[in-house]
Amino acid sequence: MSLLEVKNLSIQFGGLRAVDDFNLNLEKDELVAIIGPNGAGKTTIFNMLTGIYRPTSGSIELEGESLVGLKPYQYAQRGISRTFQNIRLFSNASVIDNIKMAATMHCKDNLVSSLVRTRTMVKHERELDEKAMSILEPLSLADKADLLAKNLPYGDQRRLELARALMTNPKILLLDEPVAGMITTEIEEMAQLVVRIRKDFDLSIILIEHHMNFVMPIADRIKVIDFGRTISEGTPDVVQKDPKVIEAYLGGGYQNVNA
Amino acid sequence: MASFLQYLVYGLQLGSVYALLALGYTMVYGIVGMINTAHGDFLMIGALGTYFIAKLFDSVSIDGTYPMLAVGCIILIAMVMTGGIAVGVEAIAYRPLRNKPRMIALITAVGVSMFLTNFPRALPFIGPNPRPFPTLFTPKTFTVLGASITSTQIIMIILAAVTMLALDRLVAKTKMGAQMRAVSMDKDAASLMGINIDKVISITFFIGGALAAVSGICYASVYPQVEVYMGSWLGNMSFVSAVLGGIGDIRGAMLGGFILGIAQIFATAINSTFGYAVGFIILIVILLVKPAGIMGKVTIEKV
Amino acid sequence: MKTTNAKTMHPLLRKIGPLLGCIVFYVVIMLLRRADIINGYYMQVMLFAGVNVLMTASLNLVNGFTGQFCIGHAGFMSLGAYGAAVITTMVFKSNSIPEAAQIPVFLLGLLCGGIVAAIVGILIGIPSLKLKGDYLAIVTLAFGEIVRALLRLIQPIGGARGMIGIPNYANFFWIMFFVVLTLWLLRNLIYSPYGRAFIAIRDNEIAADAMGINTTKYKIMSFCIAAFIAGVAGGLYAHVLSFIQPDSFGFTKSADYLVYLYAGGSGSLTGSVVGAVLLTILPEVLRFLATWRLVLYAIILIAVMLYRSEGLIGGKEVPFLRIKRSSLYEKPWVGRKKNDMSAE
Repeated sequence: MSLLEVKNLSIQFGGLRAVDDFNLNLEKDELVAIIGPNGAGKTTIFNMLTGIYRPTSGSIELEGESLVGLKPYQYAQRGISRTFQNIRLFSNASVIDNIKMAATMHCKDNLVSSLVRTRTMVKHERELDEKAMSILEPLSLADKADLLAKNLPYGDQRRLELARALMTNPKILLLDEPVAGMITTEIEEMAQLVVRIRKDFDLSIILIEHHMNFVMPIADRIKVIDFGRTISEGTPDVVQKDPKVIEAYLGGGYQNVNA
Repeated sequence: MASFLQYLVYGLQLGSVYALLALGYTMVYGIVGMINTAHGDFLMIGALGTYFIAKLFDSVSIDGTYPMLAVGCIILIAMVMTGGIAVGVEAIAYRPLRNKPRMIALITAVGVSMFLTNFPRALPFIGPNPRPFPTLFTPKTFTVLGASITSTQIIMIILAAVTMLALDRLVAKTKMGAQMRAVSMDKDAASLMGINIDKVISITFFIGGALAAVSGICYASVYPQVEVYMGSWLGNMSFVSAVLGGIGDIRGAMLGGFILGIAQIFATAINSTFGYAVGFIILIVILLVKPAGIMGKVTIEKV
Repeated sequence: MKTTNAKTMHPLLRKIGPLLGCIVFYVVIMLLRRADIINGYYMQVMLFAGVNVLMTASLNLVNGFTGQFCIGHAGFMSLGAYGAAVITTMVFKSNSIPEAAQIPVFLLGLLCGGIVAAIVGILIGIPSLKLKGDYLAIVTLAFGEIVRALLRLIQPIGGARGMIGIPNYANFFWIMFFVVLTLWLLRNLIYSPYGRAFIAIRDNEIAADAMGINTTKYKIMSFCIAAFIAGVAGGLYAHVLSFIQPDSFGFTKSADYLVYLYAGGSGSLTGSVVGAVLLTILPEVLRFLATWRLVLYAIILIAVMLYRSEGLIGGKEVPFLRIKRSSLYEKPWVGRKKNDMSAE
């Protein structure tokens, strides 16, 4: 049994079949990338894998437990965490508060003890603070812990999204275009970071991206989506050379007039 | 049967008042995304204004009523005056807050409403005392199937219907209407397409104010006491109408207004407190069943 | 742990200081009252200011910290007012309560008022908090008006005429007590995992969901706590004024609290205190203007919204209404328990 088994996942919006028969068996510690042209349905797949959309058909099973029909927060509590294509930080909160908010589901204090700030509750707060800092450190955000999230530069904001998702202790991390809008050096740094956290935090990762120089070096397997359908899958080498993939990205049948 | 028809007549009449006022609410919401809680006070300004404007025409009045031409002038002046005040309110109090959070505009609207009711109240020649609304038409009563209906009521209902149809054509068929629809969909894109959004918004407020004046005249023709506080209850009810029909939708506002007017008259006939509460009950029901309103479209937020 | 370079208050001073300050303030006011420099009228204004602080702070919890749109808050106040008044005047006949039992009965009344409001808060919250933005606002508005209509119908509590003869139990001590207590509890709540969950929901509800926060549960919790506080505030109000009627708790009253909240600045307890106190006192100060009073009030309100829309305080907090991260790492100063040593 794989860690995550997705079978025949489909969703229809009115007459539009946005995702058609998506299948994935994610093994532990694997890094799978989903690539494809804009509008292919990749984020829609993510939204189904995190409970934001309910699929019209198909199944999602995490370690054998069916997840379809649960609410998004329940997906997160069972170990699937994500980052967003358009950054969704808690903008008016500090960097470290953003991290702490992701730990709410692990909160051991009840309402009354929080209202009066018992000694135990303060102890838990301190431990939470230390744990949050321990996640900010490897992501180079520790010295910015008290800054407001909305005041961070773009690259820092992306790393903060990542740190926040890590705080939920996920089994599976979904990264939605983690290097969108970045330049080459930043992309390389992010690739190294993703590989490192995969090892340090013992994660399985599914990611969506357009930048091939980010995906190719780090992915174990790639699935290519176009118009909601999977048109190719395999290791990076196989997929790169698949003519169907080249056609989807570049269009088929163009002759160079200068040739 | 006769009393059913009678209530229906009153319901249509109250419904026209609500529908006209709801149109202003809904247009402003559709175009600037703001619930202008001061809108009911535009009705009051229209009604109270008509009282004073009619005094100017006292020289041509016959036995307390006025010739048709004078009536037309009075109504027109009232509409223009109220529309102008609405434009002024928008320019001073709402325009600077266009990009701020919605609650800020709501609080400002509370302040505007407070100002619009208390400023006339403080002015010595207006004051808090109710004034009798001038009889603009000689009422002739007709009996149809056992229900009595006065010429005033007929004129009011027809006036309301004509105004609403005119507005519907304006929005659907004219260039200005297209601009208004564009601004309501995407303000920034509209301005990039060369639409002067300040002008469009001002015109929207002007129309809303003018319609509120007509609404006030319709109301006051039947319940002839006008005073500075008359706008708030009617404003709340027309707001309910707008939500019922689908806030932001013009046809919805008309539909909602008539439904609420008729429902309220029938409910009051059963029990006065029921009549008072039926508006809110309808509101809660629609919000739980179909929050977008009868004519509203449900939008899904893109993640 | 890194230490900040900024001047931090000595922990002892920070914890004890505000409480001492409140006691001093109380004593000073009582002395001024005894000397009649503060007469009965001023005192009543201060009592109302205290009630308004409670209402505004609780509304802040829902609107300011959880980002919801409750505009019918006075409905909870009325439930608490009537709940408490029923206890003190009807369940325990007010003129036959022995002196020793007066305070417990009063506190019981306040508690019941709060609980009634909280229960209704949950009942309203469950269906409505699924709605977003403007629609939630409309439902809360309707709720306030329906409560008012229902209260007008119930004859045993006075119907539309209202209830008179409520004993005057709420004096300056009790008002101050509840204000200080509530501000302390709210401060603690905000700087706890619960408060952070509320703020997460405010700042980005979809992300909060994705990070495992059961947003519906926390929204209802926030609503319910705010309703309870509003209920207690209503009970206090009833025992200051000795008379309550349904019509005083309509949208106009809810609008008052919205104004206090946003004029002071939402998302800040300090803002709620300042907004409530200033705007309770302002109409009284302007009384000499007679009918122009409300006109000027309206102009001031519009001006504040236009020129300082983030509110007078603008979201900041005074030191004793916030808890800094660094305070988590201070050594406890009162009797370290043995098991606490291991934590360090």
